[in-house]
Amino acid sequence: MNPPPHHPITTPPKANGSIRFAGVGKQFEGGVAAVKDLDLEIQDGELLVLLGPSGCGKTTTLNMLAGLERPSTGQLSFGDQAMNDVPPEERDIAMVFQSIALYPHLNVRDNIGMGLRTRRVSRQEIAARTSEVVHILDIAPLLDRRIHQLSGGQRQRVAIAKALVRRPRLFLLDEPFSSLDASLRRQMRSELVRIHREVETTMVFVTHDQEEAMAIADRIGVMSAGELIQLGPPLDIYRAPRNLWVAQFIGAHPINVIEASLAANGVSLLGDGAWTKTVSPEVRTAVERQGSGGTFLVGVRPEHLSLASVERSPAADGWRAEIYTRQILGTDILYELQTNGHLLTAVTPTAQVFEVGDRVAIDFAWSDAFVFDRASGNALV
Amino acid sequence: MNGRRLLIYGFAALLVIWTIVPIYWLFNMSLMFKTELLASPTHLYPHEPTVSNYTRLFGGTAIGPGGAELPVIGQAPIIQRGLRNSLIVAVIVTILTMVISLPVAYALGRLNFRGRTAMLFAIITSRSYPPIAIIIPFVLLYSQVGLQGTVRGLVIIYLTLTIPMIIWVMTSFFSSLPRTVEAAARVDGNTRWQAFYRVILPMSWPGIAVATAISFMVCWNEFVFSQFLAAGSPAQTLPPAISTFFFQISQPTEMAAVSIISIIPPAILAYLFQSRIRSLNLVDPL
Repeated sequence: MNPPPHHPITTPPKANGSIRFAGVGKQFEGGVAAVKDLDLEIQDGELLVLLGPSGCGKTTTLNMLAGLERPSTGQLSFGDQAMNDVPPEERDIAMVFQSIALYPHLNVRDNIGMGLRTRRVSRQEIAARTSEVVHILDIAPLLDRRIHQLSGGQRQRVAIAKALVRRPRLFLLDEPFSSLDASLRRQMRSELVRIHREVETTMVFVTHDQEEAMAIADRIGVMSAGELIQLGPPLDIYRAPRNLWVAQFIGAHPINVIEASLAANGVSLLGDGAWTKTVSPEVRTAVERQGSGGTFLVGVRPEHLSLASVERSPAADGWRAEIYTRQILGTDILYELQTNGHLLTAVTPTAQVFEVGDRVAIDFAWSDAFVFDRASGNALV
Repeated sequence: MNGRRLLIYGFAALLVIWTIVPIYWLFNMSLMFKTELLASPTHLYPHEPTVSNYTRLFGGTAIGPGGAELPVIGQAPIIQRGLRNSLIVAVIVTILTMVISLPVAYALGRLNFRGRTAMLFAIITSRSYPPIAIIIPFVLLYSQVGLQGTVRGLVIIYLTLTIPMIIWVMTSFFSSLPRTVEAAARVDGNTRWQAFYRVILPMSWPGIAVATAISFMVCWNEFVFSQFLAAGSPAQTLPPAISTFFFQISQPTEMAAVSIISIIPPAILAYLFQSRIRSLNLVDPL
């Protein structure tokens, strides 16, 4: 599919799109707490991504925004308007669902116009706004088709057009791209970012895909077991995860978690004391302050683990490993390294190529590494 | 063709014969004079086909094979009235059943509320005994309140048969529809009630078609209640009217003609709704 031509979107004046969750909780029948004591402010015009594994409460949070679920405790407000008891039809929101949820008994044109007809928008206005959004999403030729005649990507475009045509105060997107294939997903992602830039309307996007979240978010809210664990811009979360779980969840490649303990001359890594690395003073004081006998966990992202040929790093006490497997990813190479019975992963640019079986010297900088408490998993620095 | 396929086709053929042959035989009989029906060996098709069994039911006269005029069918007025009554009762009951059952089934199928399971249980229990078991109290009640032998009375009692059945069928149908479509309708600005009639109902045509056909056929075929509450009255429906043939002089070919007529309305309904049912995919409405 060709990228659609660029049509700027005419934006009307909008209601204040800021949102506030104050101590919001949702308990389902049988006592399951889907969301616990959520405090969250979403700014007007922001694209906030709620990220977490399935069952973490992100969809329940979205459903509370939509009015499909009522908060059990706390207060949800749009602007300064209390929303707990406002039904979905009075919230001026548009929603795109994972299952797409178009009306099978209507054609594309009527699906797109449904929300406007319900709100008694005039026929001419509906026609004008429909033709605007179908140009943005390049679906004009599909207007008279039935939904079951469309491909998955086309259905998703129609679903987005249906939301966009409404010009709501708030867009809610519930894993909208998860049923699409990888290339279409990337394409829809960039379209969404462009649309958001043009409509400047608040969007809340739910996904379990950290790559998608990193790609589109102004801010990410990482959720787990009904709680908001960390909230911030994608790079902040990537660079400073609050705990081991966030560090493991965010990042294209699984992070290396290395057992470590303080020693007189530095940090002994991998638990068996085979290698000792000099340690920065902040890490030493942080670990000593936490007082668990000096043992802790070091998180090093594969892209921050540096590899060098042994000849270039002749220091006898250097950290050595053997290349165990190699995957060429295109722009990068992913290595699995065997070191003293442990497997670590490293990602390097393609400029640096090693063969399977090569001995390499590995290292990382403390500024790139994360230091976590062994027991709680919380970041120590 | 391998043995397995042969077996499948064999069984399919058997099933078709099993279903079709009795109806064919009835049709065969309805086109014969009584003298030909009694011929030996039996005729597998009418050698002298006649429509006189049909025409005479609706006031026509006909000359028999012997050259004499055939006798008048004594039950003809009862049959005509029964047809009319059956149509009126079945149509009224089906419309009322749909109007009442669809919202109830929607609530039971899509909403969570206290007592939902108990209600479903009560509804299915009300269909768990045979009608004959409760006929005597109904006869007494009906004669006291003046519903005995009235179309109104039949409509009321038939609703007790159809409503639980249709609620049951449609509850499972509604609960099988994807939940997000309704959520989408709400977000699109519809109240719960508007979402029901603007989105859920139009999406539910296949289920509603099936339910309509079931409701109509239950009324059309019902015998016990009509026999006890309306037999011999001006409100008598077709099934008890047909049964009056058993108590008169033997008229097998005329009875066959009435039976064929009684098959026609449900057959038309099934044919009409079959295309409806096929036009949408029940499993995946998208």
